[in-house]
Amino acid sequence: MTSSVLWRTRYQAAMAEMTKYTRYMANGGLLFTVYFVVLYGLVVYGRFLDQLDPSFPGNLVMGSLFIFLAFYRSTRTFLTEADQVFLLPSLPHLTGYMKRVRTYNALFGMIRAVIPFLAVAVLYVRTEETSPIGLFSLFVALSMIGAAANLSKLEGVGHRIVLLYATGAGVLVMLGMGSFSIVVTSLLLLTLHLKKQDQLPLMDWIALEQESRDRFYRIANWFVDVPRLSTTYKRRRLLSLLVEKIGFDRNRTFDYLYMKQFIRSTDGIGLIIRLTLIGAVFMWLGKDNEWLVVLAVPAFSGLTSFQLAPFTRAIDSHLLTRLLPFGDATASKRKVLRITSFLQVLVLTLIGYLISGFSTVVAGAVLALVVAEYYARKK
Amino acid sequence: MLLKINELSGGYGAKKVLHDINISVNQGELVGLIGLNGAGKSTTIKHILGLLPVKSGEILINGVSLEQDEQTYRKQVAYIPEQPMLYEQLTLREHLRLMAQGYAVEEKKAQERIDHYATRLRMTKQLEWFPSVFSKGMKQKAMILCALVTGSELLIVDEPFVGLDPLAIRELLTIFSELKADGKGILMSTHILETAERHCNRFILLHEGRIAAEGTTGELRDRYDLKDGSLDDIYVAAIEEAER
Repeated sequence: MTSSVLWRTRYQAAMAEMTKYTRYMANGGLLFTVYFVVLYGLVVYGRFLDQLDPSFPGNLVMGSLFIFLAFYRSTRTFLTEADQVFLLPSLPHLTGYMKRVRTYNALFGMIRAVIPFLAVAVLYVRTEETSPIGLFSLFVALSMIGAAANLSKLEGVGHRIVLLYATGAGVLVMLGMGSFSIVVTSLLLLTLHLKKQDQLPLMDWIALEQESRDRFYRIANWFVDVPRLSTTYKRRRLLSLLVEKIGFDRNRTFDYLYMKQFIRSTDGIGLIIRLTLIGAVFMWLGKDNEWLVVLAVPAFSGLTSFQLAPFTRAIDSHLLTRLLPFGDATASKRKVLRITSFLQVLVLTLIGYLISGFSTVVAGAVLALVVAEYYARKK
Repeated sequence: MLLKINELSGGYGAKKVLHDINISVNQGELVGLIGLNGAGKSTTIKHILGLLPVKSGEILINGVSLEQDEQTYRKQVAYIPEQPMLYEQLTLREHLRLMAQGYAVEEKKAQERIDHYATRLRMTKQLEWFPSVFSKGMKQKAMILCALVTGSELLIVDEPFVGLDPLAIRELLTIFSELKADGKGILMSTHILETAERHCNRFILLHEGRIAAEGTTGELRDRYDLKDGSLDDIYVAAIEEAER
């Protein structure tokens, strides 16, 4: 199989799959909630910019963006597990495929920098003295970081190298020497170029593709069932020790199993922490608007409850669960959802009250608990 | 009688794989379930485990069917699958706790069993590991430990030796002997006939969803007129006869 044929078939297949899931996601009602949150976020941000003090440290925000952007990478190689067998004979002839993969990742990384740059640039030009060329050079430097973040793993270069250079460039921006940041990011790309791999590292590239796919599927999984979604679990020793305190009672077997799943999976406790933090930021941005703060509690709690739905799926669909005499799963699932929702509502309410001082936030908490109970009963 | 299968017919959807088979496993007995690929061994096991609906006939464990009392039925049977299936989010120790808890084993007794069997299968070090870092053999041992910690009356074992090292195979066979002595029953599907011949009390030979032959090695030798024949020879003779 030639490089161009392989690239074409793989790229088309990946895009078809992505389109399929994106369509499913667009059909879900949750997408409108996301649109609403984004639009409202833009309005709030616009107001924030209108009232912005010129002494606001815009260079710090722009510099931080360099570091922030370097953290995220999504490297696609479009290879699959079966390739470690079937691509072996073609391996020496895949230089063209490697070039295409690099180009795709570099371009995608650069494109990804556009929206964050635009968002911060409107703030930056209000607080810093800069010329269009200076701004453009910042954009080029930032897009290089985006490209490098995607390319580093392809060349077997540790991601920390990208973080190091990005920090260097970011610090220069923070110190008001933003025009030099392009030199740092060029050096980063030069380093990656020098480390360029001649032979396709099949296993590494397959793992990179799997990692990126999983990331996309995890998001898609909020909206629609994704089959064979592989998940990573974290040990979380301290929380795990607390779960061990659950009584050694047959009727509590599912409590134990679900709690372990909840604390170790990204769609359990990770989801709650993420959405609580976003909710807190949201309330802080709109702290002068009573309605916004009050409704943020049920909105983010409801969003969490809705998205928590798949957290037991890995357990429920496991063959072992069907074979064993474990007792009542539904009651345990409800228990976990109720406890976690209550704790999240409590935290959001406290944050809302401390940020805004509106005691009406309690009304929002009551509504949030009603919403949470609805989802718990729905399971 | 521990396991009693009466006139069982079943399969996948509309496809009938098993045709009126009768199988029994008594206490203290290790019964070998043998047959070619596609003979119906795994289908039989899936029916016993309640993973496939029975078309006709019945399956009883200690006189209880799955339809009568699912919890009691399931508590009496533990399963060692051919393909290990472990929860990715639990360590081995947590799996064992979960199994013991689910099967209502007393906590102290469970801990004793965990320590005892983990030591014998050389898995003590791996008790705190997640399955994602296990080798194929370790996963298989983990499944065996999960079944052993339950202390169930009946063990359903599907190709238990796949992926195991020779020491583990020997230890597992010793454990099976001890379980038999304790009055447990074991139904074991396997292709390793030499080992089966030495350790099974009886054999059931399945062919195309029907029982082609059954009995002890001696009974089967007599039937196929193979005086000094091994289980391998009997197996070939039985298949040839069934296909005639």
